[in-house]
Parts: sequence; structure tokens; C-alpha cells
Amino acid sequence: MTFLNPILALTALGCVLAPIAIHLLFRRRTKPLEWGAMRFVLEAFKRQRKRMRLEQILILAARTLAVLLLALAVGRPMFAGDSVLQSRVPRDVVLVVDNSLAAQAVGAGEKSELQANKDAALRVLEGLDAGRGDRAALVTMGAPAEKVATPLTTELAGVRRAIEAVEATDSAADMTGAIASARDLLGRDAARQSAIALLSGLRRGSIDAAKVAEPVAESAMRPELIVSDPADAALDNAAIVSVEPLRSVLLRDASGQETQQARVTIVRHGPGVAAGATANLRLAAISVGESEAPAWATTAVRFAAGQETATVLAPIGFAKVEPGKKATTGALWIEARLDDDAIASDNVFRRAWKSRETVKVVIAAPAGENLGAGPTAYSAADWITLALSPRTGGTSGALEAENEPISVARVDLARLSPADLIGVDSVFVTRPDLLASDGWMSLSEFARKGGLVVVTAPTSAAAAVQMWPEPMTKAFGLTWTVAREVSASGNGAPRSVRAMATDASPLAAVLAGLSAELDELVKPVVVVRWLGTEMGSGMGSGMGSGMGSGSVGEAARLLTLEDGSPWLVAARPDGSSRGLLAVLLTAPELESTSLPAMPLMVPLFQELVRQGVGVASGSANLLAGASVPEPADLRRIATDGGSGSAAMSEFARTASLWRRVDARGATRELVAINADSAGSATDLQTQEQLTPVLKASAQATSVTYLKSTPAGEKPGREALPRTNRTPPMDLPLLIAGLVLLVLDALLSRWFSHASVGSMFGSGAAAKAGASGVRVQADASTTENINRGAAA
Amino acid sequence: MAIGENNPEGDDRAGGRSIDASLYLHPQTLARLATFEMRAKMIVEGLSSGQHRSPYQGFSVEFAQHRPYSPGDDLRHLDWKVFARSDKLHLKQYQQETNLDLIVLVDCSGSMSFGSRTFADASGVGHDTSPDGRTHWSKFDHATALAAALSYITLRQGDRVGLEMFDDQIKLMLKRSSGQETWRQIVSALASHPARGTSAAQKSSDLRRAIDQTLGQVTNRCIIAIVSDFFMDIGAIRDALARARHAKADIMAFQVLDRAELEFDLRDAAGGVIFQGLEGESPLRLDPRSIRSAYLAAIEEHNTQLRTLLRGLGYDHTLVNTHEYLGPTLAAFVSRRNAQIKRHLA
Repeated sequence: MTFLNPILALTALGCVLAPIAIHLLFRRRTKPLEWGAMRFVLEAFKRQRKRMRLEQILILAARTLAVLLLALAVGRPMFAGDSVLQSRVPRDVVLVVDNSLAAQAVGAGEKSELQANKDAALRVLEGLDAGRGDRAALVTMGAPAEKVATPLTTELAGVRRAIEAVEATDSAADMTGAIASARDLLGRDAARQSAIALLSGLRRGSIDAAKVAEPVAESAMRPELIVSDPADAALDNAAIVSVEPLRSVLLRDASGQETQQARVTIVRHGPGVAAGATANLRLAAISVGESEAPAWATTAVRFAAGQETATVLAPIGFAKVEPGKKATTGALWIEARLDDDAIASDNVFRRAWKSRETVKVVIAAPAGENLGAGPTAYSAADWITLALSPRTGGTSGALEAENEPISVARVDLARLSPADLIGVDSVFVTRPDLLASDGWMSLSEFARKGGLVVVTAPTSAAAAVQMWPEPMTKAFGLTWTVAREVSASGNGAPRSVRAMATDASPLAAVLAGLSAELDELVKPVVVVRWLGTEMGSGMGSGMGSGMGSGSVGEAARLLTLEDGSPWLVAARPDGSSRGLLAVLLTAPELESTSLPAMPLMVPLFQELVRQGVGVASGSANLLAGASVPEPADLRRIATDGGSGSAAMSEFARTASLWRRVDARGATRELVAINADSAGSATDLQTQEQLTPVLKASAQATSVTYLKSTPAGEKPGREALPRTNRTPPMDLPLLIAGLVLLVLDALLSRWFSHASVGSMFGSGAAAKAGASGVRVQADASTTENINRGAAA
Repeated sequence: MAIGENNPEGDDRAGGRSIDASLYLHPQTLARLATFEMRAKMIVEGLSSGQHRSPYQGFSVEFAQHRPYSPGDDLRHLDWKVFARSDKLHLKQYQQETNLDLIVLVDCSGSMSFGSRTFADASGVGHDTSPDGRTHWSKFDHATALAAALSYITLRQGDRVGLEMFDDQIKLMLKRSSGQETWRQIVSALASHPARGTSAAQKSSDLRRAIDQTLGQVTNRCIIAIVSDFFMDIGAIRDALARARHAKADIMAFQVLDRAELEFDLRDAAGGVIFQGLEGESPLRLDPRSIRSAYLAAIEEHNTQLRTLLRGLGYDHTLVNTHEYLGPTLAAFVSRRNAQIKRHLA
């Protein structure tokens, strides 16, 4: 038991001594009275001594106990089991309203769970009393958790308005963040009772009881957790998890007849998972500003009984291009749709896409290193040029060809400057050993802006000791580096190349388009000379030893030698989300490898550019709740399902489509924000499953569930929980103390025989009359006696 | 007798103090006293004949009755006329009137100095304070008035009156006299007694000793009026009265009590007082309300025992409340006593 007002309680407890002090004080002030019939006083005292002592003890006990009870009441004791909602002490309640994607679940003809959560929050708010000092704050749970109405305030009307204004988000529930925010708001005020009111349908999309709870930081503050009843309406829901076009950059076919596909992953939840089902998936590529209706390409996605996730390769519908017109290039997106179900937001997925007529590639090579007289004389730059733009072969000095999807240009490696990289998508460096440090800085700057930089090992004619890896590592902020010494097969037996198709890094998508044929393509390729890598923290143990089974950190091994040592590596500069550096650890020359003469050569570099450019430009596709880089440059694109504010904040919580603009207002790229399918699970969970997880995650003293309000019934205070815990004790203590005081007064009167005194005119007169004495009431007898004695 | 109906004051300049009997006797009381006639319940043996009849059937003036002759009787008292008529020997008996000797025995112990009535209320002439400066009317003051009144009545009948004051022993004694100055002397002695109204004496009363000393001074039968609060053991009182009875003395007991002692109504003393006894008892701190019932029971029991004791011995007991005027009390006493005498003589 603790006291709400401990100082007051201690002070009041000190007052327990008051009756004794008053007794002693009055004892000191007792008046002397000379009395003639002293013998009868002594005799009466002897007769009454025991009774008087008992009476005094009883009165003292009653008074002391009364003061003690009043002191306890003033101190306002709190017991561990006191419920916040029934407490009489000031309460702090942080309302955590679930407005995540799962809260959008709505059954047939019913209100959404978000509305139910808001109603429950209002019910809890009605249970508070600002006049008593109750305070409330509001936190929403859509990721990332947001403090909507803070700090704790007694202005409950403002909190009510904030609750009513809460809108749904398409992000997953940030339970941990919300609880941490709530605990942060509550602080540690021992004089107040604290509670977190978690108002959610508690579907698996909001909190997964099967997962181990993420405990908040250990703290002595342990609030009570008030939780709305888990939803009980079983709902089926399907969500689009991802849409990945096979080509990260769409190189428009001049004819406009696109045959593009996208890999779409769909997940479904609810009781319907137990049965097989078919979902209608529609895909369309939509350009910004396109006024015509999307040309949907429909795919039937079949789920087997018990199957939750399905990934399909679905065609993308393109709007037909009128004859004689060129297809629109520029910003476009892929929009995928499913049929409506419990949650509408996760049935739409938009995937920002890049569309180009050509990809501009610059090959930085020494001046004069143009296509030689024949294949044996071709330099690495020549082979790459041929691979990227096969039709330019033999056209010396004029590498650019019309209607080539990839345009290749040469720049002097020694004079490489940022100006050479304007408007370029990718830069190839075939002689890194000749590149100055300024050149490396220019390349790293280019990569950080979303460019693709491909570095190949220098020709075998270069120095045996390689000095270029150091400036490259430094410029790109790599955590790994290339070995300085060239490795070569000792016995002359070349090494074969192995594809790392299973690399889990997102960068592995660079070669995803070749995944089906890659194993066959790499088989004939042999490597004679190559450069090793040195183990770096970013590469992990697998890099140096070559025995690893996958990429570690930001670096991805796209291709390896047969012994597992890296051969083609991709990494982000500084581990950022934009830009791409690909390093081929062998010079693409016949002296070092058979690659230039093998069928792998063209598709490898074509894919490296086509996909690499898209990967390098960074992800413009975010899930709701993610942090948005440079939000000020974003402008909203109106879509049929779009809603919310026109300005982007630091975090995007609503599925929407945006365009990033440059200083002149021109569109640089599209940014698509989609519903986070992690929050789309509509599976039901029981109190028994949830209670331990909730209690652990909030470090709560107890978990109390609110009663659900029946549909159509106005929520009222009677819906608040009726706990069987100890009720507040201050009022009973106060009543008990007052009763004791009354009892004390009665005892005092009874024991002092004051009632006899009041009957003076009857009983006493009768007695006196029996003695032959006429009695006259005179209340000032003692005064007269003392006056006489004083005289 | 110098005390007339129109001049009840008995100034006494002796001792340098002016004693005014009206301080103690209200004029109305004195006026009523003039009509009283004190008769002894038992006709006492006096030095001179008076209006009080002797209990002995003697041979005086007034015929009382005949009784049969017994051998040895004085033949001078034979009624020869009866013998002549009936041939039987009868003696004539007569009632003899004697003088009344009244000894007023006033208790001057410490407890008698208690009083809760204001002097101004009780004083006959409306003085606010007593000659010694007190503002309260003590039981001793009331006893003084009562003794003066009894003396006045007795002296007015021509009988002799003596005064004695006692606590643990006889403190003052005035010889019996029916002289003109007797009443003044009595009043002066009462008013000037050093122990009056104060608890300086701090002594309890010893009635047995006082009775012994009194009876040792008298040779004839007399009436002893004891004016006291009788705050003493019943056993000691019984012993004292037994001795008086043995000496064939008549006792008139006037128990003077203050109304506060009778009622113990100390409501304004809530919270407790320190009771200080007037006869050397240890002080006692308590709430008077808590013992009121026990106190009343104790004093009532004592008074009942005293009354029973006195009446059992054939003596008068009169409870005198200091808050009441003396006249009605005395009137009731005298009339009751006369009625008893008449019944006795009848």
C-alpha cells in the first residue's frame, strides 16, 4: 500500500498524538475545586475507578483510531490492485488508438475497426474527470507510432477532438513504438495512477501473439494496461505484398508493343486460407498524366488449400500506342489490383517504374583505345562496347547508333570530369589503374546520385601490383577492398565461373533477368587471371575466404569462381540506398578470361546495365510507415484511391503516389508508397493468447479488457470494466473515521454521564427531593465554588 | 430579654468587630422566629419551673393521673377522696413544668467552610461579602444562622442556651444562660470564630469526643442541638449518640449541606477538576461527571443511614440546605417537633 499524498499522510498520522496531547494539555489546565464532601468523592472514585479506567481507554482508543483513519483517508492510500478507471486519485491515461492497416478491416455492413477503436477511446475518455485532475494523451499506432495529442493534458475536449480526427493509415502497427511513447508520456509521478489504454481489434496484423514480445526498456514505472476486447468477426483478406517488374528500367519498344511482366507476391489471411481460392490480379502500367483508362492485364492467381502466399509472373498491361506516335516515356508506374475484401488499401499496389528510350553508358578508357583491328586486339572497353551495343561493331569513332536501347560513349579516362557524367546512366571503367583520385571522387559522386559504376580489373598488361583498389575503396566508402596482387591459376588450369543465383541481397536483382539461363551461360567461361578480395567487415567472412554461401552486408557476389571467391561483386556506395558499384575482378579480355568470347558476355553486360541502372537509381517504392528521404521535394499525384495531405511528412503512413521534383519543378522520379502487407493479417486472436504478450511488452501491472459495445448501442460509461479489485479506500476510511468520531462523542457523553446532568430537573431533583432538599438548577456551581475558594 | 421582635440585631463591639446578626438571620426569618415556641420532646429536668412539662409524674401543681398504691409509696400523695369512695388506695400524680436547657453544638470542621451560594443571596441584609471578606455563603455561615435562630427561640421562651463549637474537640464553649446578653454573646462567638468560612483548620470533626466533653459539663438532662454536616463515619456518630442516649439527653440533629454537595451538578467542570478536600484529604483529579452517580449514591446512603440512626434513637433529624432560607425550614421543624410532643404526651 502506498499513499497518494505521503507527506499529508505522515502529517496526519502525527495527529494521532493529538488526543493524548489534548488530554495532557487539558490536564494541565484543570481547575482546582475545594470540596467539602470529599469523603464521598473519594468513595465514589473508589467505586468507579476500574470502570473509569476502562472508559478512558475506550475513549482514547476510539479517538486515536478515528484520527488514524482520517489520516489514512487524507493520505489517500493506493493498493496495488486499484483499477485506474475506478480510482479516485488523479489518473494519467495515454490512449493508444490502432489506426494501422489492420484497423481498416471492415465486415459486411459494419463500421471499420478504426471507428470501433475510436469509440472505445472516447469511452475511456468519458471515464476520466478533468475536475479531479485526470489527464489524457493520444498516441496512434500506425507505424511509426505518432504522439497526436501530447503532453498529458486535462483538456479532455481537445483529446476528444484529436481522437475523432484520427485517420486510418496503411502502415503496419508499431506496437512497440506506441507503448514506448506512452510510457515516455506517463513518466513517473507517484502521486498519480498511470495507465495505457490500448484500443485495437488486436488482429494478428496489429500484434502477433505468436511472436515474442519486444519488451520496452526496463523501467520501474509499471502502468496498468487497459485493452479493448479482441475483434471477434472473422474476415478474409488478401494483400499484394510486392510487385517487381522483370526490368527495373523499361526501355520502350519503339513500336509500343510492350510485353513486360512483373513478379507479384500475394498473401492471404483469415479463415478462408483453409480452402483453395482464386484471386483476380490486374496489372497495368500507367504514365503520369495519362488520361486514358489503364489497360489492365488480368491474371488469375490460384491458391491451394492452406496456401497463404503466392508469387506469380503476371503480364503488365500497357496502353496501346496509336500508329505513328511514339510511346510515352518518362515517369510511370505499375499498378496492381485485387478484388475488394476486408481491407481495401492492401488490394492496390503501385510500383514506380523507370521508362527510357535509351540507357546512356559512358566507357571511361584511355584515349585512343578504340576498337582494334580484330578480336585479339580488342581491349576490355571494346568488348564491353560490343556487348552493350552490338550493332556498333566496326564503326570506329562513332559508337552511338540510333534506335539502340543502350547508347555507348567513350570518354578519356585521364580527363574524366563530372561534366562528362551529366545525363549518363552508367559509367564503365576498364582501366582503374589509370584513374586519378579526382576521377574516383567524380565516380563516387555520380554513384551517390543514383548512377551505375562498373569497374573491371585492369588489363593483364598492367602492373602486377594494383594500386587502384585503395582510392576506390576510399572514394566509395567500401568496407572491403580488392587485393593488390593478381591471382592466377598456378598450373595454367583456368578457373570456371559459378553463378550465385541464390544471393539474397537486393542487389542480386541485377542479374535476376538471367536467372533461368545463368547456370548454363557461366559454364563455358573460364578465368585465367583475377584479383582477389580482402576481407572487410562489409564483406563478412565469405568474401576473403571465398567459402561463404551468400553476400554479407551491402556487398553482393553476383558471380564467383569455382572456389567461391568473388568474381563479380556489387555494392552500394557508403552502404546507402542509391547508386551501385559493380566490380568485375577480371579484365574482360581474352588474355584473362574467355568471357568475351562466350555467350554470357552480351547478356551479362546488357543485364548489368539494364537492371543495374534501375537498381542504382534507388528504390522509389516505399512501404507505408517508412522514412521518406527528402520529403520536401515530393509532390502528390492524384490517384483514384489517393487521400490525405498534399504535403509529404517525414514518414509516409498512407498509400499514395508522389513525384520527386528538381529545382525547376521537373519530375525526377516517382515515389510510390504502398500499404504494408505486414499489417494486413486479419486473423483473430484470443485474450488468453494476447494477455501475456501485452503484459510483457508494456511491462504492465495488469491487463484489463474493456467490454465491447454491442452494435448500434451508444457507448456509455457502463461499458467500462467492473473489476473485482480493491476499491479506493479513502472514502471508506473517511466514513469509518467519522463514524468513530461520532462513536467517541457518544461514548464520551455516556461515560461522562452527561445525560444524567441533562436530566437534572427530573432524576436529580427526585433524588434530592427524597432528601428533603429543593433543587434549583445552577450550571455555574463550580464557578461559584471556585470564586468563593479564591476569595 | 433585650432581643425584641422589633430589634433582632445583636450588635457586639467586643473584639473590635461589629457583629450584625442580620448578616446571618434574614429579618423575615427572625420575624417568624418570634412566633416559635420551642418545646422539648422530653421534658427536661431544669433548675426552675418553666413552660416545659417534666416527663416525671411528680407532685406539682397540675394533676396528671392516679395510680395504685404500692407499699413504700409516700402516703402524703394518697388521694383520700378516692379511698373514701372506692375503698381503694390510689396515689395522685402531677405534671411538673421545668426549664429547658439547650446546648447548641456547632461543627466548625474544615468541611463546614464549603459553600456554593453567594453571600449576597443568603445574607439577611443584602451584604455582598462577609465581614471577613468572603463572597460565598458557607455551611458554617448557615450553621451560625441556625444556631442563632435556635438560641433566639429558646431564649425568648426564657430557657437557657449554651453554645459549643467543635471539630476534633470542643473549640469554644459558652455556658448556658438565659440572660439578656446571651444571644449577643452567642452570635458574637459564632461570627468571630477564627475557623469560620476557611479551610485553614483542615481538621475533621470528632462528634464522639465533642459529645463526651459536652456531657461532662452538664449535670441535668438537656437538649443538644447538633449543627453539622455529619461528614464522619456512621459508626462514630452511633457511638456519640449512644452516649447521649445513655445520658438521657435529647438530640436535635441539623445536617447542614450545600446544594452542590447534594446534587453534585458540576456540568461546567467538564474536562475534569482537581478536587481538594477541606479536611486534609489528598487532591484528586477527575471528571466529576464520571462519578456523579456513584457520589450521589454514596451521599444518599450516608444520609439514609444517619437518618435511620437518629430516628431509631428517637432523635430528630433535619436536613438543612444552605441554598434555602432558614425560616421555612425552622418552621417545619418546630411544628413537626411540637406535633411529636403532643402525640407523645397524648
